[in-house]
Amino acid sequence: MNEIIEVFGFEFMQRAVVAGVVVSSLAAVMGVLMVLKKASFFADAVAHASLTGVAIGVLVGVDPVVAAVIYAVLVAIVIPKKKTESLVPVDSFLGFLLPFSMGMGAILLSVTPGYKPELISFLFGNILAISRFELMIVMLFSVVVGIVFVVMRKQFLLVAFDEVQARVSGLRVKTVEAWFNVLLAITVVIGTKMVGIVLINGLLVIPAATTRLFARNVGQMFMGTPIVAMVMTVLGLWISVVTEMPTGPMIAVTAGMIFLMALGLKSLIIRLR
Amino acid sequence: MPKNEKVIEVNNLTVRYPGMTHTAVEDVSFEVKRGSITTLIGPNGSGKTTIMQALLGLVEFTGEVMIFGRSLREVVEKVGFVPQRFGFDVAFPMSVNEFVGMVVLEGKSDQREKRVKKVLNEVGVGKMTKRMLRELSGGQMQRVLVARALVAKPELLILDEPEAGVDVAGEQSLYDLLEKLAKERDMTVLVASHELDVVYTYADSVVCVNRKLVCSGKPYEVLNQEMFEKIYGRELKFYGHEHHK
Repeated sequence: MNEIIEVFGFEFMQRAVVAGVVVSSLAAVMGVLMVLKKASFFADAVAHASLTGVAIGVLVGVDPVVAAVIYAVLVAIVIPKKKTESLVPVDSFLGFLLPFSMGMGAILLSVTPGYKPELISFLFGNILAISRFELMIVMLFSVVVGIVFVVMRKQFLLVAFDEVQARVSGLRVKTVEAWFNVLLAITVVIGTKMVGIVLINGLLVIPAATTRLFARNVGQMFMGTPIVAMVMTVLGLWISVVTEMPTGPMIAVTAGMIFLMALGLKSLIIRLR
Repeated sequence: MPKNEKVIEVNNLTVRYPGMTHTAVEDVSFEVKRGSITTLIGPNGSGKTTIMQALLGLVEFTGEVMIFGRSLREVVEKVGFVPQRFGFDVAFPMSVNEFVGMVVLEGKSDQREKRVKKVLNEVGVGKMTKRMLRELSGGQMQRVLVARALVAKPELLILDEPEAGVDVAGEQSLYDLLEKLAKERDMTVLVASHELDVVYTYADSVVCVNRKLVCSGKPYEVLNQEMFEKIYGRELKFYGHEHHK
């Protein structure tokens, strides 16, 4: 028991827990709507594209997270426009953007002179290495995303759940979607700091999928999902530290294991009824 | 507002979907009077849903569509819509209460809840507020969809084949409800349907389409063997109808 508490006594661990709890709960809430909108591929594309932003940041001397957020927001604004332009179908466009941006990011990082961050830390995340400055940036972006989300939550839910009804109700659906995409892009980028580009979708999808198994209404979904995400993240963090395993993958695996257990429990409950 | 006021006025409506060689709807004109129940009839693929989507601004079109003498954008709060198919994930955890209240974007939550409760009672599903959407039968779901369309207190209600997925008894009680609500709320109703019984029993006027306008007017005046052949083809026999408004 003492060992468990001791681990959380380290400053680097405290920073990681704060960042992890805030970002994972934010990602989880966004994930509820992302899954409803069937926009997982969008989040994946933004995450991969953000590597180019990171590389540009390193190249020009801007904080990589800030540069990646700016780049990802631009991508998030461009992608929905492809929906309405039929020259290239949107899934093909995303299929192009994903490897292109990631490849471009890796190349730019390799030609950047002087100190550069490890590519692997962007692919799989390294939240234990988060600095005070990075934590501050992550918190700042999280607060901005959180405030806009709370203000626009009703519009986001209506557009994500029933776009036709949203249009009939007179909502400017494209504007609402653009705001959501921008918030999602920011969340994805700050989330990659935790679990990396490759695993970020898990942070968005798994807590929502787990909560959905037991929730009976939207209120329970939005209350339960961040709690589930926090448990997954803190548990994953702790296991990674005590087993000296990589943090991002361990958070993703822990989240996956909790989801599988929840699925098993739900199946059992249905069978016993 | 006078009774003969035109609530809907459609002139030369033509819709062509991108990539389609033929028009989904061509040069259709009709009008709907205030306080009436008007049915839009035609076979599958005749353009009923497309016309409704054009009225609601959901598809691009040429021609003119006026609602209460204005463009839809100016009077959007006066229009309620009940879709034919669920464009949403019914399995998503959502209570009836949340589903109906979701379209009320303004106002305090307690006022919203009162409105939702009132309208759910009106359509006869007042005891199901906490039930999940996926637990509802087809008939209950249709009533909940009607409640959602009514919660914004519309003056015009547009319904796209609301009887889809509902049994015969459910269909009749749904239309009885619509007739009652239309009278109580002084509401104009436009309903697309393929049920001819509905036309004779509930409609004040009918608009028949088969990509183009085939007929419009009072059901017992315009519906005859010639019209049915034009709408549905020669295989459908016309037996008239004793009961009409």
